[in-house]
Amino acid sequence: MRLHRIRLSNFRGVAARELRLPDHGVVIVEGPNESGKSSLAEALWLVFEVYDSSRSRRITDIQPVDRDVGVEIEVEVSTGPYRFTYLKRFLKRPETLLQLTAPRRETLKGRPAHERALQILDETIDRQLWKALRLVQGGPIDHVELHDSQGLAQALDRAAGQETAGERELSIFDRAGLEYQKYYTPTGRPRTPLTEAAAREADAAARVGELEQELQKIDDDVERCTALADEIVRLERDVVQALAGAERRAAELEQLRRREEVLKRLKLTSQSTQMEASIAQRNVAERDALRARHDAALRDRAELDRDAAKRAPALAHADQVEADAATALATAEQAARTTRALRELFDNDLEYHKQRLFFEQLRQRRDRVVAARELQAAARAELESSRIDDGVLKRIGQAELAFVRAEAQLSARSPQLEIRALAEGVTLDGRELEPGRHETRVDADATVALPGVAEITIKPGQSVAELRAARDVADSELRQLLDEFDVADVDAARAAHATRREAQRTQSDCEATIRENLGDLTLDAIGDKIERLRRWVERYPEERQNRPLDNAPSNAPSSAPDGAPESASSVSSETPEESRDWTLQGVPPLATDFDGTRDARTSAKHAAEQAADAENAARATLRTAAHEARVLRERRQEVDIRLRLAAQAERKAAADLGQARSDEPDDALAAQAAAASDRARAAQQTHRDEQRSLAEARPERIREFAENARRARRVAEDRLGHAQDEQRQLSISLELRGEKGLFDAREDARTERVRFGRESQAVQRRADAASMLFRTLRDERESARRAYSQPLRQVIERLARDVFRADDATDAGGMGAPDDRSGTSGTGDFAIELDDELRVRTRTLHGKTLAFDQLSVGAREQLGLVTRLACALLVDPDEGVPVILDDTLGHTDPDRLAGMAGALEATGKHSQVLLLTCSPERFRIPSAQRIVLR
Amino acid sequence: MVRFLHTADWQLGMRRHYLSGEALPRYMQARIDAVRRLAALAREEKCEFIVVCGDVFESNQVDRQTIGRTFEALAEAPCPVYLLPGNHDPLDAASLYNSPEFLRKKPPHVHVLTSSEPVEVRPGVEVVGVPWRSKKPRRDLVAEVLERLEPSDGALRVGVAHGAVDVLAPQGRNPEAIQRDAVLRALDDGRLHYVALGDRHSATEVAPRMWYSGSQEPTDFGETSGRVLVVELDRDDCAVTCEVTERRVGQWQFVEHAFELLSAADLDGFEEWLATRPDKDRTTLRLRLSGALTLLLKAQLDDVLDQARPLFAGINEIDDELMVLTDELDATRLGLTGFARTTVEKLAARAKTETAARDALALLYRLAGGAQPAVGVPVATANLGGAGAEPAGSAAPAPQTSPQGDLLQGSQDSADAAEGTRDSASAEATRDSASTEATRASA
Repeated sequence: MRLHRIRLSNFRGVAARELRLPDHGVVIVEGPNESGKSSLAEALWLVFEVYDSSRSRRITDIQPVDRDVGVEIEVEVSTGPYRFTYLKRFLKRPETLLQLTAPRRETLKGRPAHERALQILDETIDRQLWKALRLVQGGPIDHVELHDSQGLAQALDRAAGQETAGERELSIFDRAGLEYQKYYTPTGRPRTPLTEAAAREADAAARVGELEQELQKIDDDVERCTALADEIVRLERDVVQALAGAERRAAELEQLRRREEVLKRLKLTSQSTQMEASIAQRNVAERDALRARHDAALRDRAELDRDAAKRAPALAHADQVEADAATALATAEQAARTTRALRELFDNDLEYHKQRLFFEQLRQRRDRVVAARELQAAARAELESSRIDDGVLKRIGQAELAFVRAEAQLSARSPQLEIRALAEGVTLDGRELEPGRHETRVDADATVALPGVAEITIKPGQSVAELRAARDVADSELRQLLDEFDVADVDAARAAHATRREAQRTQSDCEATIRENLGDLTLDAIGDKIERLRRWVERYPEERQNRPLDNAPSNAPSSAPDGAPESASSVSSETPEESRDWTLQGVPPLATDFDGTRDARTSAKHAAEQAADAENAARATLRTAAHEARVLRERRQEVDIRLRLAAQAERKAAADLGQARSDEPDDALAAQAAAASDRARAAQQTHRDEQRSLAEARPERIREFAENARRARRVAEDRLGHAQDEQRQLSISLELRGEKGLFDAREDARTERVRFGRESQAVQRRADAASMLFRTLRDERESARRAYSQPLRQVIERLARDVFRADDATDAGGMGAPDDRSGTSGTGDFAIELDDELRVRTRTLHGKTLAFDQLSVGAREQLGLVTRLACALLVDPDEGVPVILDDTLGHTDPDRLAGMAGALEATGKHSQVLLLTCSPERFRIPSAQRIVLR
Repeated sequence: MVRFLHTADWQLGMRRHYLSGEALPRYMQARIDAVRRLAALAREEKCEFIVVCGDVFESNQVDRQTIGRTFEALAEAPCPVYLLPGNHDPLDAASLYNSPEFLRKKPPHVHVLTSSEPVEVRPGVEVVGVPWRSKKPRRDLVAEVLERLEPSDGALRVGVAHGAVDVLAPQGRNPEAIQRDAVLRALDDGRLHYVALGDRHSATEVAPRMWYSGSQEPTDFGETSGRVLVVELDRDDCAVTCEVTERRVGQWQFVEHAFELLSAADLDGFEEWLATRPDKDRTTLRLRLSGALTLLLKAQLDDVLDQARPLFAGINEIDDELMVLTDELDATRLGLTGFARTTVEKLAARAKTETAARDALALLYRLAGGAQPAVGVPVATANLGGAGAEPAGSAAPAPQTSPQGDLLQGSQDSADAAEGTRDSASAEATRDSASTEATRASA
């Protein structure tokens, strides 16, 4: 589509304006603000889209303020094969005039003209896209920016839906979405109004259901009542029948009862005659028993007599055996006593020997103690005389050492005085010196007198004097010590000390000996003990001899008190047999030593044990014999008693029998019994006959029938009663329920159900409509976008390729390799990708792909503009449509404008681009034409 | 000579759920008011008694207040009133006629025909009732009574019965149907002289001296009801003469009408017809709409209906047969392009068979702001879906009195009507099969 000419009258501030445009290329329309440049785009739109009769805001808005005049738009346009001039006048004297010049001349007016113009547009361009483009172009060029390409999809949405006054920005799609969301959440779940209406209907339906049930129950109960009435009639008949039956059966039962009475009496008769018969029988039997008892008693007595006679010899023999055993026991007891005594004797002997040994030991210990005491006394005397103990000796040693040390010092320091006495009379310290040579040490003032000649005093000096004094002190101390302890010299002191040590050792040895031998006793105690033991040991042999053995046949000959060793050995070698002989011979001699005694005792012990065994055996024999004798004796006594009893019984039986016979003879008794038996048999027969006859009448059945009839009557009466009760209760219940007005309640509920159901269905229906509309719109929109996607991409690529090649320097975002201007073929080097919203998602330049957001601001702007321009080309694939860009504010950065210029120029090659601006210098587009308004 | 009033099927307590909220109580009251009017009519016509041939009450379980109101209405009656228990209010264990409320309030001049023993109204005039004792007796009660009935001893005798007559319900095997011939024989041999019938809601002469009076107010479409019969019965030496006069007491109308709508002119005609209905607030309409309308005309139709709805007691339209045309013209006029336009086409294709698609189109129409005002078609409102009170466009605010337009009423109401009367087979079968009630026969 090409816009060749456009003329406006009374359009906003523009009273009249006409513009002629070249067929293609960029046209920069220059003019101050308010000169009406921006009205061009709007006018081009309005002239096609709005009826001349319209008084909508869009039209009234463009009317000049305060002037009531018609707005006039005239365009001259060629599109496809058509070329025409199109005029519209609005508001005042509305008019539409379409004058076609190609392909053939044609003039239309009014509505048909309008329709025809739209039809031509529809035929040659994509009107929706054109509309979208116009919406996109609504923004000024300096706001193209980043949103432009994003806005296309929205613009298409808006273009698809009709715009309405006041809701310009809401597309049909958005409004359908809002409508849909009244009923559904974005995820498609029903919202409250939808669910609530259905719920209210369901509630009412439930109430209806409940009331229906109650009413149904009433109907059921009514039917039941009808059925009950019939049933009661039937049951009353049943009761009458049952009563008759029951009476008949009762009569039968009465008759049966009478016959049973008769039978009972017959039975009693039979029983009493039988009783009499059995009594007679018993009398006979008793007589027989009496007889038998008498015979048995006779027999028993004879038997017992024989038995007693048979037992007498055995008893006599048993008595004899018992006496013998008693004798044997006495003997054994005596033997046991003797051996026991012997054993005790030897026990005593053994004790004796033990005591004697002890006595000896004690005596020795006493002797040792006495000796030690004597030695100890001597040592103690020695100790008392000597005072030189270890301490004293040590002091003497020390004094001696001090003296020797002082002496040595003195002699070492004292001047040596050598005097050669040439004559006699020389004195040294008053002592006359023999002639000759004298040496002395001067440790004190020494005076050498040469009588008559001189007296020379030699003074050893102060230090020697002190040393000498020290020596003198040491000497005197030593001496004093020696004097104190009364020893001549140091050696003597040492000797005295040695002697004293010896005495000490002796004393302690003696002390040990005494302690050892005394133990815990004193010497006197030991003496006492020795005396006691001695007396006991000396007395024992004599006492032993004097103590008799029990039952010993004779006194044993006394042995030597101290026991001869020979006899002791003889005793120990004796065998037990021999030693037992002592029991017969008397007291055996005392063994001389301990071992012999012990052996003798062992033998005696054995003998005693054997004797005890023998005694026990004898005692057991006696017990057995005594028992046997006792048993036999008891048995004889028992036989005697039984014999006595048997005799008694025999006498009594004889007496009883005699008595009975005298009362009633045997024959009479037998005759009575036979007669009673006959009578009993006859009575029994009569009873049995009657019993059989009654059984044949089957009394149990009669009773059963009677019982059944009674029960049937009761059942029938009960049923009738129940039916009557139920009927009564139902009537009452129905009456009560009748007052509830259930019908009206149900009808009210139904009315509600109907109303809510209607509401619910209406809401549902609206929701369905909204849902279907929204979903269909959504699907259609998606497929529409898909349809645009491919061509749009291609056109954008074609345009942008030129832009990016022509003006690489402005592509600040082309951060890849520098563009090889000459070398690239261009075709494969530039590509973009669009997303579902028809937004540029990525751009690929020289094989480098970047997301849209990663591009530089400039590159993004260019792409946005290119998208817009691409739309213009897409609207009319052959020629494009005029792109009208409004640079209203002119604040755009000049560099960026320069970048866009490339895009504009590239588009200008294909279609008309009108750039409205008030500062044309901002656009450096060499090929552009310029039109200046006023 | 005796003159009496024959009426039946008052069915007091009955309701019609498709009546709009406020109309329902009015309708129910109207049924009682009609009773009051017929009582007054009896006085006017100097009737000696009134027979009510069954179904006096809609149910034995009606609210007991209804009884009091009924007696109140009957207080006007200057003569004995004989009530016959019918199939709706049978004399069963739950019978309302035996309820303490009824017995306590019953005025002396009101009698219930509880047996088939002849009741003497005055010397020379007898009434023989055939009361229903259960809802489904499964036999012809009338024939049973007639068998035992002796000819009257000189008195004029009026039989009072309830139920379908066999010859009027030929299709059903209704064991309770009254055998017409048995009745005619009784009329012939003088056991009865007039048979007053109830159950059929339209006044109908079954045979000479054998009539249905119909109900006092209409209960459904297609009835000839809302009247009572004034019967004058006389006998001379050789014959019985009978004069029956229909008198209208009802004030409500149930009107069913069919329209074919194809153009704006048809629509205008339809609107005109609605506008000229008399007594709209006592009229219930059932409109059978057929034909084909464009989306725009359909919207117009809906608007017309929405306007009319509050004026009438009830409008119940059945538009299953009405097609909505969604041609390209509509889409173009909506000014839609692109996917919105293809959406219209898709929906239009589906709209031929799917109601939801039709509704979706209507919604789209509304969302798009209706037709462009510039198109020049005067569209009052576009509120098809009726979902919201959103103005369709500032240029043409829609005068909406009822924001809840309701497309559903048609189908819903017919369902209600079917379920509304528990009138079951007996009532159903006796209706004029020739009338438009064919729809109801399905129930």
